[in-house]
Formats: sequence, C-alpha cells, structure tokens
Amino acid sequence: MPARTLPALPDLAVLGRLVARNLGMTPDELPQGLRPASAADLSVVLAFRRDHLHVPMRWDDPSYLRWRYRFGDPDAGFGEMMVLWRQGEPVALLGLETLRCRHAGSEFGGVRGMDLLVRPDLHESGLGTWLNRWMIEHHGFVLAMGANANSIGIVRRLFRPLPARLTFTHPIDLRPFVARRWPRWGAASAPLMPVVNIALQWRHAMLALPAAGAAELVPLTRFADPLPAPGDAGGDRVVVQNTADHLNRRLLDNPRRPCRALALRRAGRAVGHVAWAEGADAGGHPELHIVDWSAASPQDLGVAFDAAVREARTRRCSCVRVVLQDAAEREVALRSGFLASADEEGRIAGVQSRDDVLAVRLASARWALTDVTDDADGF
Amino acid sequence: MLAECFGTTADALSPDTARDAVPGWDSMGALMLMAELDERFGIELSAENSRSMRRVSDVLAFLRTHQLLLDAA
Repeated sequence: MPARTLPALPDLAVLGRLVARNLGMTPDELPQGLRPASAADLSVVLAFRRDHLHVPMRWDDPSYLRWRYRFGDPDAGFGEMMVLWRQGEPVALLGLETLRCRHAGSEFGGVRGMDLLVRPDLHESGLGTWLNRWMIEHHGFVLAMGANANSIGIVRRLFRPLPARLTFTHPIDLRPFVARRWPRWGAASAPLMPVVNIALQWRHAMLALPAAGAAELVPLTRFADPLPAPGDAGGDRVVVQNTADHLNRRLLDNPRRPCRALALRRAGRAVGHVAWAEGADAGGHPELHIVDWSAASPQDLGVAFDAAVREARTRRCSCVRVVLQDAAEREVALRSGFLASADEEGRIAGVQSRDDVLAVRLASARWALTDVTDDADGF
Repeated sequence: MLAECFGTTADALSPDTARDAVPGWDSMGALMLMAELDERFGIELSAENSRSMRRVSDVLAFLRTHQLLLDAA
C-alpha cells in the first residue's frame, strides 16, 4: 500500500468561508456561533443527540452529560461540549476532553475530540472538517479517533496516523464466540462446547501460572495520588497524565459504566492498576471489558489481564475484551490467551497540531491509549 | 485535481467511477473539491450540487458547464 500523505488543506479562514457559505452564514458568524454549552443548553444538547445519533442511547441522560462535560461548571466534567448555533438553532456538537501528555520529559496540553455530531441535512457542508480544523487551530494538539466513515476519512486525511486500537478477546464460553464468528457451525458444534470450554480454562491456568516476584492485585475503592507511572514512561512513549481525581471520576463514578478497579502492588508499593466493567454482547451474553490499566512491566500487565479473565469466569461472562494500541501490550495480551479480532480494522487514531514539529514528534512516538481517552462508554 | 481532492490516484478515477467506489469522496473530499474550485477558478460549488453528484462524470459535467473543461473536437 502506498504511503499516505497529508493533503494540503486550505487554511482555517478559507475553509470557514466555504462552510459558512454552505450553512447560509457569514464567515464571521461561523466561529462566533461555536460556544461552550452552558447549564441552560443541557436540554438542547440532549435533544440534539437523541434526534441525530445513529444508534439510540438509552443511557444518554442529563446526569451522564453533566458528568462528561462542564456545562458552565468549571469543576465538573472533563472538558467542554461545544455547540454551533445558527439563528438560535443548534446545528452541530463537538466534545472536547482536556488532555495533558508527557513525552520524553516534556509536557503538552491538548484535547481529545469526541462526540462530534452534525445535523444530517448539513453532512455535505464540510462542517465536520471545519470543526476538526478549528480544534487543531485552537489547541496545542488534538487526538482524534474515527467512529464512522466520515470521521475515519477526516482522521485519515487531516491527522497524522497513530496505530489503530484493535480489539483483543479472551474467550471463556466459546458458544457465543463461535456463533458470531462461524454462524453455520454454531448449532453443530454445541455438544463439543463444554469440553472446549474446559480445555480453555486449563489453557488459561497454564498461561497464568504466577511467576516469582509477580505483583499482587488488591481491590481499590478510590485512586490516590501520586499515581505510579507506567514502567516505560521515561522512554519514547506518550503517557496521558491522569490524576487520582480524574480516574476516580472517569472510572469509578461513571454513571454509564462504573468500573471495578484493582491496584497492582509489589512489596507494599503501588505499581499500577487495572479497571474493568461488565457489559453484554448483542445476544445479551455478559462480557468483561478491560477499560483502563497501567503497569510497571509487561509481567505486571499480564497479571492484570489474567485477573480479568479469572473475574470474568467467576461472573460467568462469555469473554474478556480489551482494546489495545501498543504493540508491546498486544504481545502481553496474546501471551495471556487473548486473540486478535478477525477482519477488524480497529479504531483509527490520529494526532495533529498546528505546530508541525510537535505534530511530527507526537506522531512518531509510542502511544498506548486505553478506553479512558475514548468516548465509547457503551458497549 | 479530482484525484488530489479525493486522496487517490488519477488511475483510480474514470467518468464512470461511482462516488461510493471512491473512499475519499466523502464530506471532506467534497469540501476539498469546493475549495479547489473556489480558490483556483472562483467557481462556487454548493453543498446541494455536491450532494447530487453520484459519479465522476457528474463532476466533469459541472466543470463543462463552467467552461473549465472542453470536449475534444
């Protein structure tokens, strides 16, 4: 496949003039119409999402949105929900989650763009592209992930590529797994499944034999600062700088999918954590999703993954899923018995900055994002 | 110009090529085409006109209408 090059984009002003024209606005009205949502806008945002999201979200309610975005309260949420107004009507939403990242001793501030939603009749107006371009112009750097064909196209051509986030699955009960992947074999193979499931359990027990000096896992009620840095934080990896307060709110107080968290400890000292939540597949079978993790070493990460598999078995889940970006973390998952999802392109990710030097630096570094920086809070 | 706007190669485009067969002919590709026509030729391609284009031949017809493309004699 030929290497992708970033096309030269018209500058923000040129882009704004075209998009404003398509929207029947003046070039000045377009950026002026984009404002952080206030508490008074909450019901408007909720209605806009209800009317225009492709997938109905039963859990999308005021408490979730207030948890996610500030809506005028500087102490709430993780960033701003921006609303683009045209003649008093909302025409687009853009979520911005504030990010601080550290790379090779330097710290950078930026945003993760998420929850971008454009009114369907304006899809050909270029508004989604302009909103992404606006983010890049107004923030130190922008992290983006493609969720649908249009946003994947924008991430691919407007952002510098990062490794995609790929789903890895550890099957526990193979029945729903086989039915999904090989539908024709589902019924025929049913009598064999109990035997295969026992073989899987034995295989996991062998793979998860504790090594000398392995970290232990301790249930965690709340995170506390200082959080231990990942073991490879000093290398070429970009590490998202989280605080205990952020993880408490993001993982434990999430009204949509509260997580269970465990601390990884060695010799009485915290060396990392893992957090997971239970969900269900399309057939209603329970699944365990590993949402966030941090580990001092690949061995510690393996301990965390193995614990998730044991927990899933206790809860009678059909599988454990984790979405991985970093090659080294994928290796750990494979060693722990996870399988890479077939025929999956993954969550396309990209990074961009108006500072080209910073953009190149961030795009060349290692990233190991978890679901903490994703907006897919549902399953 | 079209290949550049849609992030593909000229070989991948012919008049019969359908929009759905060009991954880069999405909302961003359409905007790039609008920008190119506007910046380079001062021609306005509206969102409505852009939405109605289903094949490369529709774009070529638009260019002919604006005398940006001449039929071979």
